[in-house]
Amino acid sequence: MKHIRKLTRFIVVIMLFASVFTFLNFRKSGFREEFGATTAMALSEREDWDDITDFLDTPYEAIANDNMSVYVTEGGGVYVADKDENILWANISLEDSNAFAGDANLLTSPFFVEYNFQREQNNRIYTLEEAVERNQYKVYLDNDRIITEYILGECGDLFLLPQAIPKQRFEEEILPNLDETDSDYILRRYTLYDSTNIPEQNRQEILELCPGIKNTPIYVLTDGDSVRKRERTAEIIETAGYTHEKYEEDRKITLEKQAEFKETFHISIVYYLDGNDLIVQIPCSEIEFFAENPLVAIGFAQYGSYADSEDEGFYFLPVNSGVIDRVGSDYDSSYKVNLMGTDLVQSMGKDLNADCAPLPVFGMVKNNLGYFAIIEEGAEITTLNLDKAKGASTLYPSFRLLEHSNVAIVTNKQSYVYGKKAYQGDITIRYHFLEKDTANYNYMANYYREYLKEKSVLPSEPEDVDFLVEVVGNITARDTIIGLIPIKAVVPLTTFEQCQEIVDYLKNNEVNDFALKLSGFNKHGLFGQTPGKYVFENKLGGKKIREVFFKKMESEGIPLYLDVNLAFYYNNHNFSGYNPRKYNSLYPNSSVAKFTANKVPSGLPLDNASAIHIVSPSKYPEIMKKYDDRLDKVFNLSIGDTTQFLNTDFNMDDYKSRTDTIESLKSALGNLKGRKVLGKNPAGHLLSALSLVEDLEVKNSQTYNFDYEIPFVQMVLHGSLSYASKPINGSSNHQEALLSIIETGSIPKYKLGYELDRKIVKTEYNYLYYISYDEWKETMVSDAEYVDKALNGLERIAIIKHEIHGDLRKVTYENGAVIYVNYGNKDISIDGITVPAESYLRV
Amino acid sequence: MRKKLKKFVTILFALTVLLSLTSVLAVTELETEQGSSYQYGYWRNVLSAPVAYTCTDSFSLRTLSQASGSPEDISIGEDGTCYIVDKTQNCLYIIGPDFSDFKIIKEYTFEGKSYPFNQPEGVFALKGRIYIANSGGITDETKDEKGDTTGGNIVILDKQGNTVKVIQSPSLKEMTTTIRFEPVKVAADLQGRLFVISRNQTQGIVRLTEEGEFVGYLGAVRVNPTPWQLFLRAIASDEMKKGMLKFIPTEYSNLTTDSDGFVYCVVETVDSGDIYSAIYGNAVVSRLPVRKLNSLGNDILDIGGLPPVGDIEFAMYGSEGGSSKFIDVSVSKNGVYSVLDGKRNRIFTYDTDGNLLYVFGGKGSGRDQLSQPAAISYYGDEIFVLDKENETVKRFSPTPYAQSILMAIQFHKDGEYEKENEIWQQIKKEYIGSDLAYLGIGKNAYVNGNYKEAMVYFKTINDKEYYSKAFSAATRKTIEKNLYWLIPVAIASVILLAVGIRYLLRALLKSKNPTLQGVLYGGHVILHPFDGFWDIRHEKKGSFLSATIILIAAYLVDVLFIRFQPYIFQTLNLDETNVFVKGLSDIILPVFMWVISNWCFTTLFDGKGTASDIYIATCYSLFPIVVFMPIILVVSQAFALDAMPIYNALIALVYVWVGFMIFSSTLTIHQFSFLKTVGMVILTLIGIAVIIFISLLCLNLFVEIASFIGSIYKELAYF
Repeated sequence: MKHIRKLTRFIVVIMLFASVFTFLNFRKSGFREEFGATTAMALSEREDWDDITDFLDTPYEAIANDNMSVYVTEGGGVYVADKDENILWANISLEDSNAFAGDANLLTSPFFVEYNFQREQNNRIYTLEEAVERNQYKVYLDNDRIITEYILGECGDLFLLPQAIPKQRFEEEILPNLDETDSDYILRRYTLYDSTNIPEQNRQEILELCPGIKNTPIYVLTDGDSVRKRERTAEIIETAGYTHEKYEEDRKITLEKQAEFKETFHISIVYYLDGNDLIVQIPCSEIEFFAENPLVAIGFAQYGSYADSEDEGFYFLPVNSGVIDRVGSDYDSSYKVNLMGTDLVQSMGKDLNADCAPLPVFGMVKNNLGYFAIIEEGAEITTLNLDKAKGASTLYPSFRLLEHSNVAIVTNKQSYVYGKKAYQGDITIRYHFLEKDTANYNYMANYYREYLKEKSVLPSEPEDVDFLVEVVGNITARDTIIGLIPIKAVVPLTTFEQCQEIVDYLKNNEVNDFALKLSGFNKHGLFGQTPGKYVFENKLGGKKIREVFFKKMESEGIPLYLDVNLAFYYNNHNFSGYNPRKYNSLYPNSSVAKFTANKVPSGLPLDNASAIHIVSPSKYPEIMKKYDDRLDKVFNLSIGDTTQFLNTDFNMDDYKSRTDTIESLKSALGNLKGRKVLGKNPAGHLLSALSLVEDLEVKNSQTYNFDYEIPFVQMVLHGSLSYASKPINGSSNHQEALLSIIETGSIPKYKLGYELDRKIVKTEYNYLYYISYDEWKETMVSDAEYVDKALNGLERIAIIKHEIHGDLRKVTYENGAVIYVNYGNKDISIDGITVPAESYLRV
Repeated sequence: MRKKLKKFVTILFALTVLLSLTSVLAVTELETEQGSSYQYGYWRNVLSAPVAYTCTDSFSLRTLSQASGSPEDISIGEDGTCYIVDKTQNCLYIIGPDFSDFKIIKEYTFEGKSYPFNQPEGVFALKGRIYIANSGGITDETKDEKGDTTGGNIVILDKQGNTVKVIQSPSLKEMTTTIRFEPVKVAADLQGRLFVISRNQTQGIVRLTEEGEFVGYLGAVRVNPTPWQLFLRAIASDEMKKGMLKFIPTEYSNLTTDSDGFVYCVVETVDSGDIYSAIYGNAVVSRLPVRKLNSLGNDILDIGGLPPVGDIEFAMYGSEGGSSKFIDVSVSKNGVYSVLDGKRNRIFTYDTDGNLLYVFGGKGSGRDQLSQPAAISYYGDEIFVLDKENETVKRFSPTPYAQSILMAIQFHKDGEYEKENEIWQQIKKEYIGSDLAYLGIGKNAYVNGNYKEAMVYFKTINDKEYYSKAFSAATRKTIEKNLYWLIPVAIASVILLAVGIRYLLRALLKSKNPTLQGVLYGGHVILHPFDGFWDIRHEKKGSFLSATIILIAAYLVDVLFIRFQPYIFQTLNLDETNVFVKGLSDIILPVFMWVISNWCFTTLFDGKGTASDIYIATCYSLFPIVVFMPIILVVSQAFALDAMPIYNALIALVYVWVGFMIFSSTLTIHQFSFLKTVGMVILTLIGIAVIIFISLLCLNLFVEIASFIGSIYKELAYF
């Protein structure tokens, strides 16, 4: 009996713990209504708008320089033409608005707006229908800047037209001031009602409009459906001396409610020329909308990228290392990509495999004309959209002004949850126009590289590294105690002494300028690291051995990169001291941000999988400081995964937008004391912070079949920022991997484990199936030699031209060196030389 | 002593529970780190694997015809020409090698007249002939008495698209069917014999001669109802039977032939449940979705470790749930065959032994992905896939990894084992998880007489059949080599052991410790159960403590047995199994449930035994396990796989003995009649089932309560 009582007590305690744990997993936040400075707008000035566009003699040459002119057309459309009247770019269709079999509205409006209605619906409205046709726009010039302003959505008449006027006012102040014709006209529009003669069919409606009718007879507007009648009526009333003040007085008697139009948005766009570039700017801090129906996104300038099946040309998107896709289309499709990294918080972990688009650029070439666009401000909120329908296609950027997510807060109820503040900076896009000789991706890459150099974003010269070796220290795996009880145990793959052996082997074989990346040398193996802490695993070598190794690396000048956890924490062991409630971002539904990766074949969660926690960006500086303070100065830091994502934090007490995340990351990396940083993704905002990029490869989208992959990113970086390939030994086509390295001017990379055996297959690390040092050591040296022979002396030279000729690639460097790479299985003759099959030729 | 034992038991229990709670937390890493292809391991686990095939070229049929069509089937000729039939456009596309030039054939000639194709759905190219399954046949001219068309036809064209022959529908009488002949897929062998899948025809594949004469059916898809289905049907009323699904054979969905004249065909409609049982139980060949038929219609497909069913691991429910649905099959020259999964748009390739070689494809719009694949066809080692939704043909070429595998298979076929071994060594270097490489290297070592090395390779990949062969060979070799000293040593060891045991037993029997005597009394009980249990109950020959020691001993023996039984008989994944917990669920838990349940029922039915008596008697019943299982464990170390029946029989014998002991203890302790004991045993077993049910119910309730509290909190936090 005593035992049962004890057992019961034990169970109750366990239950209590479980309940408390469940409670603690949700941090209280709730919905927030504030969106920073963007609140309900006042439309008081709109009366002034009627005559603003009168100055337009469309198309009106608003601004011009020696080479080009910017015209404004009716409806606020803007187009750019060169001196030969070639239209270089236009933000609305100039000819055929129905050309696009997809959403034709995309071509007729400079932009569209997406807003949420009552937190449940996501609506999209276009300027043509919602502003231009309602005559709610104006265009004016201000210091050689074209400014177009729009109010999208219904916001009532622009003229004063009361729905109800008290009998006394109507008969004593209005009618006497009118001639007979006007008087008759207005009496046909208004009907006098008192409490006795309200027609039954309209009773409810009239009483709702003017509850005051019970006390005072009132004239009610009963015939004013057409715009013409309403306009004429308002004009007559105004002629009779009816004013806003009188209307306000009358409303106190009639109790007429003022109409509310909350689905309205006030946005302006600024266009100006900077040299030969067109700058388009959207000042987001001036955007107005009602908090009830918040504006969440803007899509911009679709016609500028429109092409149909008769056009020839391509789109350029910065997906992975860059892709190009022919304009027009064989079948309907659409594609979206977020620039600068995916957000795993907003997508609740679902965008894990989304494509990466590191640089904030895009472009198009159509019939030997084109543009190259750089998003100078607002890249972190940009999505590039490619729409194709029945032979026609368009590419356009859209901007998420307010971070939002449609989530289930409680069972079966989906709602939109918003970030605490809307984007407050400007959105600035620079359009650089291309003609004939410049209408290609090589020019785009060269232009962008020079642009970045001018802005001092790119490092002046690359690291002195020709080879990158990543060594895996230890993993955790199942083991058993005397073969009986399975436990999780540390499995050393490479000790520090073995690391030294690898280094010596490379040196002895004349692979000299290499960098070493150490992954998983901490306790609990790869990924087992608590952000901010780094405790070396003693099984890989005691303190003395470690220090000898570090000193040797330092004395030999081998850059040492240590893999550290910053944006993620992989929960693979207990008692780590990591507190998710303190360190994690919050998902839009306010739960602690963590997710479990799924298995590829079935989509089921990985066996025994514990969660991957998403660290709040607000903690980045603190975590990096800890690493900086605690780690030996010999180490540079590798923050691979962090650079691929740009996560938000929906913790409303400390909300972090993507813009804040960039700031946080910059602050974290900027404060490092002389340490270099290695990342996987050369995102635009990280270029000045990184010293080495790894795993950069030319590959197609994972979700869309673009026509060609191009090494655009490599062309921009080469000669300034060093970048390494994916591990060569991990490729299923070794020779192709080597040729790709030569084509892109990359640093070859190897990933190694000294004591790798078949045991790894039984672990979750089975994806490291290829890293055995013993198997690869000889090939590694010959590969290093092979690549070095091809690229020697070109490390600091820019790639200025890249050409695709079937299976052959021709790469031209600034110093005139040319490398031909033949991926095919037949020899190819070009420029009077023959490039052997599956080989390269440097000229 | 009792206190000490109690303490020991408590500590042991706590330790076991603690160890079982040591959560073996696994790591998950960002998927971007994982390999993009996969394989299945022996334990049906998913392994990352190198990419085997990539899309190297594609061709859009929209460039040939602006109107949208519905391409249904593809076949590649020996020269690389691509033949595609379009059901909506009613035409045959002939696309030259490397997608160079093209031709559209819309008509064929029959008896001097031209007829348009009418819903062609299948195409097969062989030796300069193109066979088209024109399912609609001739629409207006040939109607039978009722005004229906007589059925579809098979149109045979030459490479240029000229009609060679048209095979009209055989007479339905001849075909012993009333179902209209509607050919949807067709294949031919080198002799020109035709194999046709006709829509709604469940008798099998229609076999026609070169001249178009009906020969018979091939390989009807037999239906093997499960015992449960048969039971339900047996007890169902006539009305219920009408509502039940009939055991109608299903149709084949696609077919092809190989160079030896075997017909490979796939069945799309195999139930996910059947696939699941094939994976986790015994594969019922007739229920597998891919078959290889000989001329008699027998399925001669070899099945490797895991059955060729596509994905081994899948969610049972949801839009992506369910087993793979094979919609096409194609065979390459060396007998390697690929099947197309229309469920998740993947292509699985197997060797002639049924080993999964690699997987590629997947749903999506990416270059290596497929939107809605309809058919596949081999050309050399390349695989052409017809994507119906995008009206695109994609050419997938093998990566060097896949090329190596195919080369190794070819070398094996040609008997060039040295070269084969070199390639497997290379594959092992690139992909340490490759079971195929280990198998290949192991076989090579075996052939060369390196049995111990071979054993290591076979054990690594859990290939028990080959391991057993290598083990037998190695043992034989060892014995032959050491025969001159092995026999005397063995005889001496047995004698020494026997003497030792005898001496030990004597020493123990002399001991006056009542607990020890109590334990040893188990020896008497297993030989004289009725006497023994009577004495235990009435003469107090056994004690609570002795019984507990026997229970613990049985538990430990079980633990050791699970852990150290010969590898070839091991069915558990020891890396995943906590043997102490397994021992608890094998021995301790059943004993306690039996005692509780038995006590509950026997007290109701005037049983004379107390709870303590039942416990003691049940523990003594386990004595055969304590004595004989260690002997089996030692002896079986020398067994090969052939000895599995003997091994299983020995274990079964021990457990039958235990069962008999439990029965006799119930009879003796409670002083029941034989029949009453039988009834009581059944009731006790039912009682155990109820205990398990209630425990699960409580657990479920607890989970529900926790989730309910969570929901309430969540709602309160927001509103």
